[in-house]
Amino acid sequence: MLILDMEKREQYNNEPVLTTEKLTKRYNQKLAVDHVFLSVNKGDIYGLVGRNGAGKTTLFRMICGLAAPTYGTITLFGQKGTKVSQRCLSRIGSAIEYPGFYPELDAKSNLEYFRILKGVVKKNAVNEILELVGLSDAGKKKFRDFSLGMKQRLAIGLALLGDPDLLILDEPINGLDPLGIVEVRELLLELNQKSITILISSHLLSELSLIATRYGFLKEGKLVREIDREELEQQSRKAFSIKTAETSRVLNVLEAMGFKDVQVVSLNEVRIYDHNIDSQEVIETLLKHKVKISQFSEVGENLEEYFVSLSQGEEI
Amino acid sequence: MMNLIKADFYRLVKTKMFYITLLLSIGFTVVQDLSYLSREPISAGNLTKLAAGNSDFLWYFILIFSLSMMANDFTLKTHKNVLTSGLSRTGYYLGKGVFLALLAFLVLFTHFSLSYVLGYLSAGAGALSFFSILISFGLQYLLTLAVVAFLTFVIVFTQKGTATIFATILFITAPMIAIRLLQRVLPVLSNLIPFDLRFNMLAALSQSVQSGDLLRMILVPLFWILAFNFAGIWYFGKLDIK
Repeated sequence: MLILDMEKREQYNNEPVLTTEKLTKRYNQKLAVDHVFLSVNKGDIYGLVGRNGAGKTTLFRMICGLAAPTYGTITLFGQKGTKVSQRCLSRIGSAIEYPGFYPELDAKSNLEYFRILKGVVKKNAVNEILELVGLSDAGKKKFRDFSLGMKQRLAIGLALLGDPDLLILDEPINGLDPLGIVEVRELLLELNQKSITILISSHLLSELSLIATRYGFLKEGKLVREIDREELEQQSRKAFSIKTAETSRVLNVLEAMGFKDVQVVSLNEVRIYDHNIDSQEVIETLLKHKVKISQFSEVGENLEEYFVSLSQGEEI
Repeated sequence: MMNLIKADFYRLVKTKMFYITLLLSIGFTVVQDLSYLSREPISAGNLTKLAAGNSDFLWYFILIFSLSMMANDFTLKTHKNVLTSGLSRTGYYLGKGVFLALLAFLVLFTHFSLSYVLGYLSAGAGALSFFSILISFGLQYLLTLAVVAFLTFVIVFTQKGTATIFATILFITAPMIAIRLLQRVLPVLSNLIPFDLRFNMLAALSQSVQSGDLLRMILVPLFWILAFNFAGIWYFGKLDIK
């Protein structure tokens, strides 16, 4: 796997490629996106995290000019407005929602169509991209016969056509097999090394956490938090995990010991988030009460857990 | 916009539909012309005139092209890829309109050329001047462009192929049938005939045609072309693409 070039990111720091101010989209009575202040800097791999219906796709659609904001502004490559200019759009490569291609054409012809459309002069660009996304051996196979993974690869290929400065990818690894996910991950990291800024959403948070350098958490249309990778790592709370078949008995003992920040993670796992825990004392007390413990370990919160706790938090 | 037209031509020649539809339209023209010629030899000019007056069936072939090359974009969501590539909505709309207009030209030109050639083989060039044939072609093309403008508008408005088919058939046939039936009761309604886009080409090319009639034949389709295009561009401009 490629290593994130942190020095390179430092050089670009605070050079915004995309910012939104109070960006809002209302459909009848429903606020799909609610006063979003988003900031994507050059060199970022910005991971947009949110549940289904949180407003991720609507936000992407507004940035890509497919939907007009009800309110607010978008600043893209230094140009501010309520709508994104065509010149700016030509510097973006995007794959939003279901990738639309012509079913009767093969991968090469589909990309060739869009090469002509985008005015990409380099005729070999299509072959290079097919190679890059792993579709060079798709041959004459029609798009309608593609697997979902192949369709996703082609969508990423289309986004790459025309050497974009900003890539906007909505769930790009949906439907990919494990090997495909690794390949797309490496590809995105490689592109990022070439100073392409990436705005990406994915349900696979563990996957997102391997590439994103910055995160935005969207809940019910609101951007509830923006955080850097380093900041997230610092904020990720450490906890002691107790794996047991007797969850309720463990909770009673921990309560008697005076622990306040205790969470039942699953039917057979309890976590203690309190500071200054004497692990030895906890184990001894539990054993004294004859509670059966299968595992006791220190764990750190990952992106998935951070997202869950953020979603459940009262401040949101 | 030019790139969109070029790209659409690239796609067009890659699809079997194009060749099948073109062959079918040629087949219809040949069958129609041969049915005229089976009665008596007809000169190139006169056969072209006859073919011009009976070429509305070509609109259905143009409808097939429109469904395949534009309505399909909305069904398959490929228009999203086009619009996010930096082409404006007006550029997209006009690009598709121009592309379909060029296809319509190809279909009509093939129809007229075939009729002329078959007539020439049957009874020579004939007395009808090239200018008359040109007017005939121009008028029929103008009417076809009005149908194309209607088609593009309906496709963008409904974003559905079936709705486009029904709306177009209604647009082409319903006013004609309604006016021609009702004028028997209310003769004054015959004044509305030019507005139904089904002009009598034979009358247009006759010696007795009034210049005012000819002007009206030009202005009515022009009005429809402008009206549908402006409405389409306005509607598409404010549409949220999903």
